Amino acid sequence: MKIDGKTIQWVAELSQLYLSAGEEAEMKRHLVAILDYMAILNELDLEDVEPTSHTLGYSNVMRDDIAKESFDVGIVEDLAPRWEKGHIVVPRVV
Amino acid sequence: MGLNECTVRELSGRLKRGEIATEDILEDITIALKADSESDEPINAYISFDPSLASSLVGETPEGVGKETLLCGVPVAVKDLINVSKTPTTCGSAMLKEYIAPYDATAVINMRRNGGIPAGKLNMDEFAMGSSNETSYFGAVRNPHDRAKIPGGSSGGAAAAVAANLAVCALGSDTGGSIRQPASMCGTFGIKPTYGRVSRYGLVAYASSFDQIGPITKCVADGALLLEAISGYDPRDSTSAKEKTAHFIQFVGKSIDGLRVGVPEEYFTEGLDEEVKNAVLRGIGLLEKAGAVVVRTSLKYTKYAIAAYYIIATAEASSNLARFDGIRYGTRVTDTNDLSRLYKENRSRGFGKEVKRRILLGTFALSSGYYDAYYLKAQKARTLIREDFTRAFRDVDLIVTPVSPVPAWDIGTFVDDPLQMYLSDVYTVPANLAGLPAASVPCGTTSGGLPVGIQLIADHFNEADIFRAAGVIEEELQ
Repeated sequence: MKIDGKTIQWVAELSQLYLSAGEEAEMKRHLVAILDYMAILNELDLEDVEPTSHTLGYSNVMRDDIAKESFDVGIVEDLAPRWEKGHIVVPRVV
Repeated sequence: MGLNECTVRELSGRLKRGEIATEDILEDITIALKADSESDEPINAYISFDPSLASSLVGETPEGVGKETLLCGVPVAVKDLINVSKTPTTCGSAMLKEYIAPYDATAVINMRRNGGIPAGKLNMDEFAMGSSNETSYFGAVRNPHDRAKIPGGSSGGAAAAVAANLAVCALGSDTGGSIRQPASMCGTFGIKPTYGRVSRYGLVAYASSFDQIGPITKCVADGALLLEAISGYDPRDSTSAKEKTAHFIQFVGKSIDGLRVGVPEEYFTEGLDEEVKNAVLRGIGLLEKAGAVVVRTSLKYTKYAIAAYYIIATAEASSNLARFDGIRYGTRVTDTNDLSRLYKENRSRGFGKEVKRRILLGTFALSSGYYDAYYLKAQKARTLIREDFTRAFRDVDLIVTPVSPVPAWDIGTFVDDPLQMYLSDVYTVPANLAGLPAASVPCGTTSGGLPVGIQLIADHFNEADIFRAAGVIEEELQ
């Protein structure tokens, strides 16, 4: 698998991660080795094989939309990084 | 003998008769932990342990303690990615070092109803990503049998704590072998239940289609008790199974006469350590001696399991870990007016190297232009691996293999070679890909005194046969 610096930077951007030059070189080296190994799957004939996402074959069942008790506001307040006048304070950019 | 050295069965009887209290057990665990922390090379099994908090939980579950329940007030240490209300859940990461769980995971709720008392949060690989317990923000865990060796991972803290009598029993989680591999390397019993048997609600997600909570214990009977205590359908987990929970302990000690045991040739090839192989073959011999019918079987797609697993697991991880951005979850290390910078700064400083590597790999596998070549292909390979097992279970009741190709290795060996580390999961990931129950049972030691486990894999929801066979191996080796 050919992975260049640009590909690593693009994937880091999608992942919302900064990588230093040293990290980028190390990640590139490791990802190339790992993806080269993954090529083993190319030996398989998967043309007529269905993908598996759940091993027991369950599918989603929607429940009725019933209001239930949720967390006490005090618990939420304790968890919030900043709390003022009954509200969670987040950075302006959000 | 300290109470920390006793099994769940021994302690539950004494608790029931009122001879001891939970606090007495907690005291002995505290003494053992203090002695370990003062040693030259501490095991470092816990991230947090607060005996007074554990004691306060005894009073909150009066229906379970000292009564006719499964656990009767026995303290249970919990891997630090399973929520226990009012205690930290760090996932072994700087990202969540300040996070306090606001609720109990369903497995913990069930356990408390059955008399289990959550007591301490156990060290682990960061976000359960690792096979050696070296990626924790809180430092590596040492193997109690040789402190220079790894305990296995990612539930390394759980297995090491149980093996060193720093816990009576523990809850771990298994995504690609994270209960079975450390159990094998530390010489404890550990079982990953069928996917869906135990609710994942309150378990911080790594790879949602594989993750399962399960017990790590000193003996097979304890594993049966703890698994029953945490199991059951949960409407809050959309992948929870509506299966009845059996009284698993009834199968421990049952005859295995006529049990059909399959030995897959693909698990005994190049790369398997000779001493591990001999210990596993001896375990198979014990099953045969006890009346099992041992036959050769084939799981021909085994060699594709690592590639399929690491593509799917990292893809799911890249999605699951998107929530850790310093806004919704995670420590906020910077304030800036640039939203993208805010996310990147928080995530780059909050995650360790292995987590970043898996996020990058998973993001790549899901990205435009590569989805079909990697993710879709891996999901199709998963189908072939699942069908392999379906075919095999037409002829056998149980499949028996090694857990890890090698015994515990020196700390630091594979730190700069992630692919080699991934390849060590070769015997454990197939059961996760197929959603099958699988356990590690101690079956011997190497000449260097390192434990070796034997893996027992059963068909979906057939944990009963695992407990039957595990009980026989344990009894024969005593």
